[in-house]
Amino acid sequence: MIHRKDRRDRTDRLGAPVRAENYIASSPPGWQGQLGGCGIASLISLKGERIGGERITRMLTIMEERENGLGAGYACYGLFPDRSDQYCLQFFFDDEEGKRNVEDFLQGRLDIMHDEVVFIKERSTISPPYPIVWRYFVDVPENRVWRGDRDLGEEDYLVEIVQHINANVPNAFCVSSGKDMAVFKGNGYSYEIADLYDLDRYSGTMWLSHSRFPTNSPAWWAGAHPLSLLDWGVCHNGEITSYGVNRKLVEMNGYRCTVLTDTEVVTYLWDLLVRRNRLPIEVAAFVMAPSTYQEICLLPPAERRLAEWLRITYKEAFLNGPFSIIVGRSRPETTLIALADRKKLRPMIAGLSPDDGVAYCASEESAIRIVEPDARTWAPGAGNPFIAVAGKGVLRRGTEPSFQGVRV
Amino acid sequence: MKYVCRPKGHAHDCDCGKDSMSVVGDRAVIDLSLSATQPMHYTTLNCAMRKAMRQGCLSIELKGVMGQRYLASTASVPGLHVAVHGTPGNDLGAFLNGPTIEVFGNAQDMTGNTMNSGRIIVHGNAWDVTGLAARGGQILVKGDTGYRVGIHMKEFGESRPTTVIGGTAKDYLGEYMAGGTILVLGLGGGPPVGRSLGAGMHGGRIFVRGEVSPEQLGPGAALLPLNEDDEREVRRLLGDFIKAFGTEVHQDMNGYVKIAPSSSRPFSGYYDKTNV
Repeated sequence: MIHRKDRRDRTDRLGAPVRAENYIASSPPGWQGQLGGCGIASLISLKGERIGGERITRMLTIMEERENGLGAGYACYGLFPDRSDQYCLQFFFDDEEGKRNVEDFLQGRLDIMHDEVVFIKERSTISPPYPIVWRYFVDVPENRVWRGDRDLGEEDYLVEIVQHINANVPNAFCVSSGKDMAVFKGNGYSYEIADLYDLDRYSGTMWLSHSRFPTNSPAWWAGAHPLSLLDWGVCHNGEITSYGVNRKLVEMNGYRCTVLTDTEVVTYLWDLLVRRNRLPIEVAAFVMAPSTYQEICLLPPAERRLAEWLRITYKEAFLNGPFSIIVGRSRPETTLIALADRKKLRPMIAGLSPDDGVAYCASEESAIRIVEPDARTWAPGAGNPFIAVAGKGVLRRGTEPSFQGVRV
Repeated sequence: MKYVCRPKGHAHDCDCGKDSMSVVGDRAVIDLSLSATQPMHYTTLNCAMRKAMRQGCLSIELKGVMGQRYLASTASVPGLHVAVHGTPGNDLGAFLNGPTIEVFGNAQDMTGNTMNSGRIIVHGNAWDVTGLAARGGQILVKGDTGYRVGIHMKEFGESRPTTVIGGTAKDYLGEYMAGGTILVLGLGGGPPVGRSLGAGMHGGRIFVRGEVSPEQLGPGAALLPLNEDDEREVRRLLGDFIKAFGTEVHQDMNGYVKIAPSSSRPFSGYYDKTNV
């Protein structure tokens, strides 16, 4: 019998150490069977009013059964009405050195208009070390952006900067980079994270939230949801089994994967399909959760051509596997999108307040009922997006036929 | 972490339900709003319910339920009636064996998971995977249901599960069904059932009031007219539905179709090495 301590250090073909522990009949330390599945919750004021953070906290924490304390996060939209035309880059720094690294890098690349520390109430229930959370409000210098030959805009420039920092700048990670929004996340239970950031002090027109039950990537602060790029924020329950194919598509289009989780790829896909390729939201949702060819055959001829064209053109963007996602963006309008996979293998319930003022989406109905006891609730269909826009209302309930009202 | 009761054996001493449960005669009322911990954890609530059952209660009323899971799971007191006010969580009445559960609101996913006998009445909607793997008993839903309702229901001897859905059901209704009966009434409009209806079913029967096109059927399912036994069963289930909810439903049997297995081996040939 070879004891664990007698084993030689293993290396891979390139000589890098392999650190995988080898457990045989005895289970790894700390291992325990758990029931769960991520919880997602979101709300949007359809009248464009501001909603306090305690409301989304109550929605998410009622689904405590769905998390295991290894990550939770919130995204708030419409957060900085005074600085809504500047990008807000919010960072995690391991230490002061990380902050210096980022500031050195940003020097000359972006104009920092204002920067401030993000309030953190240090708590004993979340084990230290805590990151330094810092936000910069930046403008993009015009002379830097001009890429007439490549038809790239300031948003593409910002994506490059953010992804370069996340990939190459040590001790720093940019968790959100959109206008008029910020992400508050970390490694802990949903109520711990809400308390850590003291969410009661914030209010916005739309909130996304997520409590994590990690399945195939480790728990770390930057890996908690919502994952965000520009003003996209994505909360995800489930797993994308087509991760490899989807990742190749976004990498071929210039995105760099730094979190190495399926949700990150979903975020970049929304950016690629809707912002860069200018697909309508309903169409992008169809691309990610398309109907089967048997169903497509039954569509009217024009829609059938469109559906086949989309499935062929974007076959690498098809998200396979069980998922339900909540997606937010702040431009051109504050929009909430909820989408479940095409077989509805993860839960998703939508709701509307009695006065049609606030729309909700969550994994469980109890999350809606706890803040809105008299809400009207319904279940959006499989692969059928729910879309709500602040100031406009619910544009799509998720029960309509695909492509209803879509012109391409 | 919130306070969680971890019972060891049946006679353990704990404080569950101390501040929220009142028992008068054989009636127990648990008001979750009186609990010191908010929201009450499901283990605490289920522990209090089991206490009430041990004391011989035949009626348990839950007020202010908000997402608590596994309510009345494995309950097996004959004649017990559980009233749930609020929104229960997943796995309501899992492994239920005898009692009646009445939900005044919407039920979440996996209601009546693997129930053995008894009755679950939902005066609202019951979302995805309702009545999965049921082995007996009855589930009555006044409103709509979601996907994969009645997946892998089965019957044996006298045990024969029945599910009646007043509203609509979505895709994969009665998937891998091996026994029992599902009746969908489609009240309130909209297509009564979705696609892949009865996919892989090899036993049991699904009755649908309204139109079902052959494209909606999953592999292994066939569309058939109702025979006399079927009409008798539909009438009996309609009677149960009307008795539970007091709504009027047309008794005309012309509007119904039956979905039954086309063979007892729907996947014959799929995994058969001799049939390459």
